[in-house]
Amino acid sequence: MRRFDGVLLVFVTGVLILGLAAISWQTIRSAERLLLPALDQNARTLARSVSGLVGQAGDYGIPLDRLVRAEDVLDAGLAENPEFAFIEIVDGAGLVVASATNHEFDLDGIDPERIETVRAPILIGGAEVGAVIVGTPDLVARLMVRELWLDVAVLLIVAVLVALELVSFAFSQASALMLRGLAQRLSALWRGDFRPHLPLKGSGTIAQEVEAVDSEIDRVRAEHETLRLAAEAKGDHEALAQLARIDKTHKLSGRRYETPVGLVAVRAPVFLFYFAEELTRPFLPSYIERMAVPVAGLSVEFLIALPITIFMAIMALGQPVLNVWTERFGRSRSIRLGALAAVLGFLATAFAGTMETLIAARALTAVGFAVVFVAAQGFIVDRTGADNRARGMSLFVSAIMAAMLCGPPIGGIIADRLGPSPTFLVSAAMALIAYICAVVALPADAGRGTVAAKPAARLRDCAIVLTKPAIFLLMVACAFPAKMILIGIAFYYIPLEMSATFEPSTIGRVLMLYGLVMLLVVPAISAFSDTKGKRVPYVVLGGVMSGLAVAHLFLWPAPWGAALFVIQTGIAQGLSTTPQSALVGELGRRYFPQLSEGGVYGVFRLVERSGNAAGPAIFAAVWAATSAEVAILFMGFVLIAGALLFGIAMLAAPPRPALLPSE
Amino acid sequence: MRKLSLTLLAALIPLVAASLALGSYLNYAGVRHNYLELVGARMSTVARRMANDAEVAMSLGVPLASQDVMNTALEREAEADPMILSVDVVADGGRVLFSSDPARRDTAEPAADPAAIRHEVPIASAFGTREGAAVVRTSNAAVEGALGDMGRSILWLSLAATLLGILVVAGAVAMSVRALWQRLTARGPTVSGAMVPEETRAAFASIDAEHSAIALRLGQKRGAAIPGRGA
Repeated sequence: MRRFDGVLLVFVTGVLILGLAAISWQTIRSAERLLLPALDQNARTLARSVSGLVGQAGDYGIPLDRLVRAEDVLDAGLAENPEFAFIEIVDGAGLVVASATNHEFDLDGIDPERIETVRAPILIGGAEVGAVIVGTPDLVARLMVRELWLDVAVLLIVAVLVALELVSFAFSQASALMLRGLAQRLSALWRGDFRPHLPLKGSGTIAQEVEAVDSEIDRVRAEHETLRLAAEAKGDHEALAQLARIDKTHKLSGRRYETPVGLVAVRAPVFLFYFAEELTRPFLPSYIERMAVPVAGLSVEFLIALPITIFMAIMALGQPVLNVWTERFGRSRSIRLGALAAVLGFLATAFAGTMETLIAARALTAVGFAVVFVAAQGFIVDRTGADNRARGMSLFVSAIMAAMLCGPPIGGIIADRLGPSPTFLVSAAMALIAYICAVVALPADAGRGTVAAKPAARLRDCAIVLTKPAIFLLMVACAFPAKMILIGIAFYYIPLEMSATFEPSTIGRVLMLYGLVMLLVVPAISAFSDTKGKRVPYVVLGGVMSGLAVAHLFLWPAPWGAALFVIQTGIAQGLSTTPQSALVGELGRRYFPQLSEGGVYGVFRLVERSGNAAGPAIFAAVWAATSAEVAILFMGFVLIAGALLFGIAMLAAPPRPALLPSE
Repeated sequence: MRKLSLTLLAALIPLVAASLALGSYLNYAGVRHNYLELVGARMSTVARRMANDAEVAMSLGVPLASQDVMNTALEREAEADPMILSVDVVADGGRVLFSSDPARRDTAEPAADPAAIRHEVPIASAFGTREGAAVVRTSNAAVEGALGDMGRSILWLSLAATLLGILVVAGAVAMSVRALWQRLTARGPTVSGAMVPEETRAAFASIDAEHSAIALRLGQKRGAAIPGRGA
């Protein structure tokens, strides 16, 4: 199946690369025909403007060789027209009296033949006494559309990732599920893997193939067992050794921890749904800023943070209760309902004219979001057991990561070209497509039977769990500020601050780095950092690294400082998230054997997600009271101090008892 | 298989079309943005120079409304650039004092001017009070005309690329699904006589051979085990 997916992806990627390359090539050719004459006209106008000024000075009796601060005038001219390489004032003999150079161009590296110059005479009292010369490199038209190529490259990456999701969606259809099941079997047997697969029900040719393969696997395993019993009965150690080798090579006695093929159905709606929200990341804070008018007692910074905080708070607080509710209402039905709520929320956000309506619209979107998030997780939990739940969840998490990678840059590009309100309409359309995918792909909910799910976090559990210093510090001093800094700085402050100087597409490219790091780097480093015995050091290291990431915002100019902050935060969180999660279970079992593991994790998730909500509010409050710099340092300090405190608490904690076998 | 092909086509064709359309639009919009910025910068330069001339004259004691020689300078500027509809000096109340276009002189500036893109630079007195503005009106039709040629060339190429892309993707889907179907439904027997996909026969043959060797050693008859699920 991978081969099949691969062939299709290669074709789609090839078509997109060739198509976009041809279109971009044509654009460059057309741009040169359009922009070069316009540049020439601009150069003439600038030269005439400067020569007019110098002529005026001459008419007042100031000769060319006595001009004062002429370079300042020329520099200002170049600053306003950055496409020109130089401006010179020359006297009648052709000697340069004053000049300014654009440092964006390496003039030494450009062939003088490749620089077009225009000349405007300087007239004093009707006589030509010199000239103003403006130089334009031929390559400037290409440089002007350079930014465009970045957008096209981003579009290509996103289109390929979306294609991958769509191929996956096509295989989530009932008609293709059997095909995927057979492909899984073929792929396993090709690797010599004879572990049994989860049974598949169906009819038709492919179903017969699946049944034949499963029967043959069972026959081989049964024969192996028969031979092993016979060898044992005969005491033939050599035969037993050979059988053990075959067993090991072909995994005959192993169990397969595979996700049910039907689970993939939830991936496309989740991806599209998150993609819709991620589209808004680069410009949401600046969009809110337009409607933020100072209210007594509340700063503008805090008001801008308010809709983001409310959104995150609904997400955090809704999850404990929604688990039971979505099971009762039906997981598939809940996903569809949540997607519709989000469609309305995005539409209302696009047309919001006041802060109150904007907050209401974002709250509605958040409700939809929380319902989809919990229902999709529940959909997976309902169809998996303890042995394959992690794999099932990885489907869900990787869909979110892919959306985090694709959404911000495309959202930024759309906002650049069409504006923020139409981008919210695009988000609404994406949420609607997510709804349609959910209608098409998700199975109908079974009748309303007994509800097995429990609230993800109970107040009683919170009160118990947070009494132990070690677990309190892990949750409140490490997990909470880690999310606080992510949402507070990366998703609130950076888009807001950068919007003053950069286009949303640039902000989107910076924010996509978080998704990129999460998708590529985290799987590698999380396996490394989850090694037993190293969990505490990695949680501390992750916290300190994440806190130190704020230094980039002071050390490097935008957008590089912001980009490095996002990358380092992503890596640091990748280092600490997996061991943090594992430590919650470990410490929970150690300190609260009376509580279910789910209860302890519920508290952890609640505290962690509360950090999402608190981040923008706390950052904005400190920013309003002091300055943005102090707020950034404060966030970094809280994270570093929290991580170090947790490390000290764990050093002081009594040695841990023997681990359970599952650990 | 037909359903799978149709689902894949329904998913991939809109994706390819939308990506190429968005790519084309980004290309066009990017160049359009650069071009409008260039035109805007040029018109601002002209407006600034006219405003500067007016301010210099005012600093010499000539009130803005009395700078009659301004008309000649404005005409000269308008002639130098074919995109300029007119260069005006407008009083603070909205009255056109001087203009490169004689028909506009001593008229009220209309509130809306759909034929033109306005670039305005204020004219201030030596005391910083606003006396009026230098306004350059660029021909909307000329700007759109220049952009239209480029837009059309990108549009045609984009349409051709999209059609070709759709054909290639449709062909790729049809061939891939057909190959997958053949791959999955080509069958062959195992030693037990069961018909399984051809691709899996080697794996079954390999383990069956190993089992046969051990069965021979143990004096067992092959196939002693009863095939069945749940082993």
